[in-house]
Amino acid sequence: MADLVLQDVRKRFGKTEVIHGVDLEVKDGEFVVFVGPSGCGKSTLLRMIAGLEEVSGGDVVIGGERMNEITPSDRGIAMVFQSYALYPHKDVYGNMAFALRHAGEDKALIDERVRKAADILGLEPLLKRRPKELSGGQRQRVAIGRAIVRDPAIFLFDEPLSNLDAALRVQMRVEILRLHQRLKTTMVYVTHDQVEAMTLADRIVVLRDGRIEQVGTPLELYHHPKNRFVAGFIGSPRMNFLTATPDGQGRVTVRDSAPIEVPVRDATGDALTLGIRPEHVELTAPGQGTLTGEVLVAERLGGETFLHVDLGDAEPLVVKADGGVTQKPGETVGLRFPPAALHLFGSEGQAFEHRERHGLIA
Amino acid sequence: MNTVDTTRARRGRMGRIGTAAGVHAVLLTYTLIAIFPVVIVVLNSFKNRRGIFTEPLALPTAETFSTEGYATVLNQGNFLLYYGNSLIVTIVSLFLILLCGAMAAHALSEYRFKLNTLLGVYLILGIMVPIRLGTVAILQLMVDLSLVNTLVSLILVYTAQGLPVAIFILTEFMRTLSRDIKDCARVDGLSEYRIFFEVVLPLIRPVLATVAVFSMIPIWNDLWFPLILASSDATKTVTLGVQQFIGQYTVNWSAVLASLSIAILPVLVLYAIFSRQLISGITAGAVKG
Ligand SMILES: Nc1ncnc2c1ncn2[C@@H]1O[C@H](COP(=O)(O)OP(=O)(O)OP(=O)(O)O)[C@@H](O)[C@H]1O
Ligand SMILES: [Mg+2]
Repeated sequence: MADLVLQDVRKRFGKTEVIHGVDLEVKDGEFVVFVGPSGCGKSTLLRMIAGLEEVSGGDVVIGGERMNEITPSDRGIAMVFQSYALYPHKDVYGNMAFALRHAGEDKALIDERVRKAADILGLEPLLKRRPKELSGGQRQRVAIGRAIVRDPAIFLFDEPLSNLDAALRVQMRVEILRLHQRLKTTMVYVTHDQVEAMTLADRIVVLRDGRIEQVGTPLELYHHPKNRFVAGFIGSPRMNFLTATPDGQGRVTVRDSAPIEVPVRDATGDALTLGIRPEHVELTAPGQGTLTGEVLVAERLGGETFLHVDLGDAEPLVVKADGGVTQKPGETVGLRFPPAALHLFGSEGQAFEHRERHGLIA
Repeated sequence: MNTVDTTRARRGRMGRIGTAAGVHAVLLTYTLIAIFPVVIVVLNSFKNRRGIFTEPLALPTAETFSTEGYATVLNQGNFLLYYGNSLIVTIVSLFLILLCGAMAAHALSEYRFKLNTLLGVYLILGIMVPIRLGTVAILQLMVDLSLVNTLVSLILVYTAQGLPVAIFILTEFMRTLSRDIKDCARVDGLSEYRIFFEVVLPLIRPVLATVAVFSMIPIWNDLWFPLILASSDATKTVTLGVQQFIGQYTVNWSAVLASLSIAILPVLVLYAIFSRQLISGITAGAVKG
């Protein structure tokens, strides 16, 4: 059990700086998820916390102690890797016991810890198998078990589920969540997957190009993104962005729409962007609502339908509608934008603050 | 439509069988050519002198069969000593090549440090320069170190000779090893040495077997360096020992062929043991590299 503090952490590979000063505080027992586009430095940051990558500037503090020069094994962390990284020539038991054996722990204690971890993850029947005799999900479970056995103060996960198929991913996601509820250990988790981030995290850290864009609870990021990047990154399908022109009276117009009242504070500037998520756009009869457009594509997933509506922009506007909608490609539809669901961004991409916080967010 | 499809399918199948037959014909021919001299040597080693000369290609008959060659070789007490020398030199050199080669390759592929690339190029430069070009200098060096006529001199030379290729192959392979597993060992608290011995070495076993076989054969068969560096009676190797049966005027062919047949044995045994790992090692390199 320990908290984790990053103070102006930087990383340079040769002359190129890839992490440009990251400040972050992770509370004891918190589940923090790093997300961001590929190459933004999530793994590098995690590896610096683990001590596998030297810190070029700033401090990594775990449980109040500065860890910059401490070796990985003395930091009280355990790490789960994307490729599982099991020792192929050791059986499951051997894999899980390895770190403790190496640390010279008592045999009985090792056995007790391994059996307990195996029990948590349902691995008992597999203890004598080699990694190559296991399925992907079982291997990942062994990798997690190996981390549990070490009883770390902080768990680090680097995209642990991305090699698994969709069904297993859902199952393992729930298992990790339950593991956190049970152990209440601090966890730092890197992922590409929206759903993993939203469902697992106490707080999400959105990274871009080696900088933190925003830190907040999943719903905070969803309802009150600080900028256009976060708004577009969180949520799937991504938020629609429309060029908006202020009408001088605190309202904006989009294309040929009537002036729209967006409930935000102090919107200034003239190159504005209006944002609305696909799930918040409502379908109406043509000519009614905020805008009218022609349906280009209707992606029917059964329970829901994604309509791509041409408004004359380069990118069509995506509407997430009910599975039962009847609109077909070529038909004209009306779109209504509920004011409370609108976001307004300035010319630098910064979001203007909503006048009221969303009801679910304290 | 249907008929067209089936004819095309049939033609495709025939074509594939044809290609396979062609490939195997070529491989078989090559195998025959490669094995032929070995078979002739082994066959003739079981014949007497007259049998060897009158009908070199015939199988030994009741008339020509004889083990006099083997008797000569084994009774000439020294031969076992030479055999032992060869074994010692080959095994110790192999051990050093594999150990030092794997360690160097690990360092080159695992650690980022200044001059990494340059050092790598330097270490494998030896592939392009035949070590025999340096014979005179090596001899001088061995004289200065008083290592002439010792097995140590041969071991040192063969280790140097085998290292470049070993480092080259092993580095390429180690670059393809997952970084995660080594990092995981670091988090588990293993020292860098133990990571090498306990995590990396088991992973590269098949490639080590390949390198071992490739490095062993030239060492076992070498005549040049034993002749120059260690030609004393106590340090002769098998290849050199065979020469005693080749006189200026007469050659004891039965003995020569018998000793050669015995000399082939270790290589065959090694192949038999490692052939599976050897193939998986070669294809691993081929697929990944
Ligand atoms: N060993 C290295 N040497 C040089 N540059 C590196 C090294 N490792 C990572 N980088 C660079 O650092 C940046 C961040 O890499 P990192 O692996 O942390 O990204 P990531 O966010 O984990 O991406 P992904 O989601 O694809 O895993 C990248 O631009 C990458 O090219
Ligand atoms: Mg990564």
